[in-house]
Amino acid sequence: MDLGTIWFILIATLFIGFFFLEGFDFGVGTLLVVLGKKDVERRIIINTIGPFWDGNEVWLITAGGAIFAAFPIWYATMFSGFYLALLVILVALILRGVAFEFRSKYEGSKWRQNWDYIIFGSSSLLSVLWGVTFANLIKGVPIDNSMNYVGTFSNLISIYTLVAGVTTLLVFMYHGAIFLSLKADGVIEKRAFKIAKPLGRCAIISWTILIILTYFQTNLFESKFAIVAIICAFILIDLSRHLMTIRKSKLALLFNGLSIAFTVTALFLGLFPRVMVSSINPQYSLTISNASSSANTLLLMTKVAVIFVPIVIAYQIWSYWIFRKRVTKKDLEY
Amino acid sequence: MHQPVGYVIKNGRAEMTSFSALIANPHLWVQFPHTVFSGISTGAFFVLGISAYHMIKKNKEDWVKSSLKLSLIIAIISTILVAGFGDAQGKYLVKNLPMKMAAAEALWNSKDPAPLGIVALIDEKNKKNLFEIGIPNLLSFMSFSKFTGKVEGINDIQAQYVQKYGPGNYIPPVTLSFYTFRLMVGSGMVMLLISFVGLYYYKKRTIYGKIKLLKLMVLSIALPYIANSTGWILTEVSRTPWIVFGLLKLDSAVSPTVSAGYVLTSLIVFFLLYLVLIVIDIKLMLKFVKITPINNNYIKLNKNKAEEESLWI
Repeated sequence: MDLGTIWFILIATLFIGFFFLEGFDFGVGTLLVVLGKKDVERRIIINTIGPFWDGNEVWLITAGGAIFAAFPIWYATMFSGFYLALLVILVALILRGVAFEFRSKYEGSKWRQNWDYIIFGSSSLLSVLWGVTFANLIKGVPIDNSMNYVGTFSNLISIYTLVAGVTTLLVFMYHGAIFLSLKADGVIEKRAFKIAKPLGRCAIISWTILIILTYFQTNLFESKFAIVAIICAFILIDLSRHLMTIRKSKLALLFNGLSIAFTVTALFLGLFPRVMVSSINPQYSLTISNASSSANTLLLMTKVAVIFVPIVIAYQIWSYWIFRKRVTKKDLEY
Repeated sequence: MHQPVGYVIKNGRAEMTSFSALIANPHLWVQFPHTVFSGISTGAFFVLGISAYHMIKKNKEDWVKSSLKLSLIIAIISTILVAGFGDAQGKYLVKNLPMKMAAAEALWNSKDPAPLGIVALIDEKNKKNLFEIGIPNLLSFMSFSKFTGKVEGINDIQAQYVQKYGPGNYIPPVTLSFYTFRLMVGSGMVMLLISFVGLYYYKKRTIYGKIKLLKLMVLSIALPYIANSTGWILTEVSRTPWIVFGLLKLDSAVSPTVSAGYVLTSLIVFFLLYLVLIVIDIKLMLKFVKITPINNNYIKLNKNKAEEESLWI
């Protein structure tokens, strides 16, 4: 296997990790004002993701860094082409991080409510925008023969990409509800179980519509492996719904996370060996060979990654282990 | 970007050939410690300012004295190191990237010995200074550690660069480089002065009474921020017209598909976002400055209010 392929797989893995993990904390962010009525309840909700949300974002930053170093042309085309969309994502990420840190620093109820709405708004917006962004990667965007994005912001918005955005939002909300049912206690745990049912149903319907649209809008189904991954994803999300009805949150969280992982896997399998699809001419698509760094750079990066990726994964597992308990009123930090 | 190394131009782009050359880049080892120690001194002045605030408020708790002492010592050490590495960097630049230093000094024509400008009215169009006050021989001394020595001027370097890189304007914005350099060095000097005077009175055990000095210390929280920002502006601005020195100019590095409108939009958005965040941040900091680790009124207040607020960072 050549180094370009290895890095394609590694970047896919980083995004899978990001959506698996950040998926529930985006969902929890959206559910914050839906499930939490009083300040204490909201604090319990925030504290369930308190030790994790910033660690989860590491996956995104690493993925972005890996694209920059391994596929500089992919990075250049995507970050220039999606300029405004990524600006909104960045602003939302900044506001969300600040909101978690600032809300507990002052007593005022107005102050806290405002930050709560920022957490809600940014979490929801980010879920939608990530769906839109990834749908555009597979659907294809106007890329000309000199590898430049020649569209505008409006090219990124279509019914297909919006369905992908809504699906991502719903799947993440469902993911967040499972997570809360596992990590919160008392009234929040009850409400999380209650809302998980309709959310799971909506998520699976929206997801199915997305897959049907994907069949018409992209050539994802040309890859047999992608089809297998899609089928696995469907079975897993459906299983997770059934597990939630018998209140097996832990397994349900794992299965829904795996369903997200398989969906993202299908997307990258459908892309391979392309990294961005040109809607103007298939010949203009960016691929792992025409968008990559030199072999030398990739080799060095591989060595560095072999050392550091396991370390990062190890300390993240450790932090999940340390904070494995349910969050109760007694241990609020945020 | 100032001094690219360990690469080869292949397929119209720079490709890395040696990672060890990147790490061993001499430019890195004058710039990196300079930046790291300025970070440490920023922290030291922050702690110093807040300790001084509590001294002004007649807070007699033990921590005030010890944190003032600790921050004074770290402030002195780190600021000296920042200055030392800055000096090394200056000497290095005179030799290796003379245009940067010449612009930072607004030295249009080569001089031996060269004076160090203090203020200058710079006419960038006609490439000369309309008015300047300087200290004789000092620039030569700073560049070569002796009071004579020819320091190359902007016009001469420009002529050399035209020969080397082809026709074009290789002069960075001189006024901006000159004054950001002075603000940076000036802030650093005031920082050194304040921390030395502070340590002197601390040793004499009379610092509690020196309200003016303490107030100055509170204000000096701003100094490292000024020095850091102007230093950053200086090093970036004085590299123009290059984005990667000798290889890539700014105008050929501009993204072809991102319009000026997009860039302006993002600039405005970030400006406003950070403005709001700065205001909130300062307000929160002002609140937290008043809380002391021992008489933690804030936590007491909290505990009375609601029993569930058992822990708080």
